[in-house]
Amino acid sequence: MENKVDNTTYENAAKAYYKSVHFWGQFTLVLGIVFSSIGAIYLGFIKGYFPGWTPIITAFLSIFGVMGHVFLDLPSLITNNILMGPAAQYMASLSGNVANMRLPSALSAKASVDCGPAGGPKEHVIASIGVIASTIVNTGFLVIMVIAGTFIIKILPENVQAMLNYILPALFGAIFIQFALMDWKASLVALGISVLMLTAFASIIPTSYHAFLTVVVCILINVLWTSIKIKKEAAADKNTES
Amino acid sequence: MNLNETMKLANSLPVWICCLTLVFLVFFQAWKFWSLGMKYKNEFSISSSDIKTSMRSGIISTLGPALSIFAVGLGLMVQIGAPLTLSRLSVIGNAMYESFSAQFAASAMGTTLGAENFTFVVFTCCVFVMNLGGMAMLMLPLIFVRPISYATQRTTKQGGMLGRVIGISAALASFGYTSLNYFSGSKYTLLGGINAKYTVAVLVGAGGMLFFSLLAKKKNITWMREWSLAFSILSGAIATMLIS
Repeated sequence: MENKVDNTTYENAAKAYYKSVHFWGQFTLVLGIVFSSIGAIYLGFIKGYFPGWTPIITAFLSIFGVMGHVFLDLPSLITNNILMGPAAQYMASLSGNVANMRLPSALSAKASVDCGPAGGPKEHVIASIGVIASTIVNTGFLVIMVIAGTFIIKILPENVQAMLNYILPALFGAIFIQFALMDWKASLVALGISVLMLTAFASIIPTSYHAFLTVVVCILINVLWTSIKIKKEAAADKNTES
Repeated sequence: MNLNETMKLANSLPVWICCLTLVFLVFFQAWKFWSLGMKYKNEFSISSSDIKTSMRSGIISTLGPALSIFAVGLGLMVQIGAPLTLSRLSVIGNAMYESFSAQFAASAMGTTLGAENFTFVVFTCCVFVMNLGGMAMLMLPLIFVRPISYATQRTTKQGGMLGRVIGISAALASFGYTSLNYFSGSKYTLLGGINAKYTVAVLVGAGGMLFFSLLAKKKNITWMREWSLAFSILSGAIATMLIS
C-alpha cells in the first residue's frame, strides 16, 4: 500500500516536472527569437542604418545553403532527445554547441551518477545539471574572452594552443569507454556499425544521416539481441523449475 | 564614415544592451531549469552528491571545447565588435557559422569584414543576417522538442528493461561514430587515410578512461573515479604533442 502511494507521487511529480520543462523551454526559445531581433531593430529602424532587404535575403540564402541542413535537422533533434531529455535539449538549442559541448557534458553527467530507470526524470534532471554547468562555464569563458581575451592568447604558448584542438577527440573516446563499461557487447555492435558507416556506406549515405542511422541501427540490433536473451533466460528458468 | 567609427558603434553602449539581453536569457533559462530540477529532487531521489558529481562532470567535459571557442571568438571580436560576438557565441554559438554569416552579410553589401568601407549599414546587415540565422535555428526545437520527447518517453516506458539498452546504445553509437570519424580527421570516410594526431587523441583518451576507471574500481578510489574524465582527456591531448 505504502509503495503504491510512493509511486503515484513519483508519477505526479514526473508529470508536473515535464509540463513545466516544456512550458519554460518553449517560452525561453520564443524569448530568444524576440531578443534576437532587438539589436537589428534598434540599428536598422531606430538609428536608420537599414541596408534594405535585398542584401539581407541574399546573404541569408547563402547561409541557408551552407547551414540549411542544420536548421532542418530533425534526425539530430530525435537522437539528442533520446540522449539528454527535454530540459537539457531546450538549453542546448538556445546556447548551441550541441555536439561539442552539450552532448558530452550531459552524457558524462549521466555516466557519473546512478540514474535510475532509463529515460526517466532522474536521468533527465542529471543530464540537465551537466548542461547547466557546461553553459555557465562556456558563457563565463566568453565573458572573460571579451574582457581579457587578446592578452590571454598572447601568453599561451603556441603548442598549447594547438593541443586544445585535440581535447575534444580525446573526450569523445573517453566518454565512449564510460558507456562501453556499462555494456561492452553493445559497444562492439556500435563500433561495428560505425566502421561500416565510415567505409562501405561512406559514399552511399549522405553524411548528415550517418550519425542518426548509426544510432537507429545500433538501437535496433541491441534491443533485438537483449529481448532474445531475456526470452532465452525465461525459457531456461521454466526448464529448471519443472 | 570608416571602419574605426563603425567599430566604435559596434562596441557602443546601446549595442551592448541589445546583445546582453540574449546572454541574460541563457542564464535565466539555466536558472529556471536548475530550480525545476531541484524542486522535484526528492521525488526523483536525486542526492546532493549526485548533483555535485554531475556538475563536476559537466564542467570538466566543457573546459576544453570552451577554450577552443575562445580562440575563434577572439578573431570575430576584432571584426564585428565585442558585444555582438558575446551574444552570438552564447546563443547558438557556433563560432564557425557566425564567422560565415558575418562574412556573407558583408559580401552581399559588396565589402568584407575588416575592410575600410565596413560602414554602419554593413554592420547592421551583419546584425540582421546573423540574428536571422539564429532565429531559424530555434524554430525546429521550438516546435518539435515537445512532441518528440513525449513520443520517446512513451517508447522507453513500454520497453521497460529495454529502455536502458536503448539509452546506452544511442550513446555508444553516437559517440562511437564520432570517435571513429575523428580517425579520418572528420572527413566522414575512413577510406581516404587516417589522421595520426586525431587518432592518437581518441585512442589515448579512451585507453586512459579504461585504465583509470578499472583502477579506481579495483582499488576503490572514489576521487579517481570522479577525475578519470579529466585525466583521460588531458592525456589524450598531451599525447598528440609527442607526434610531429
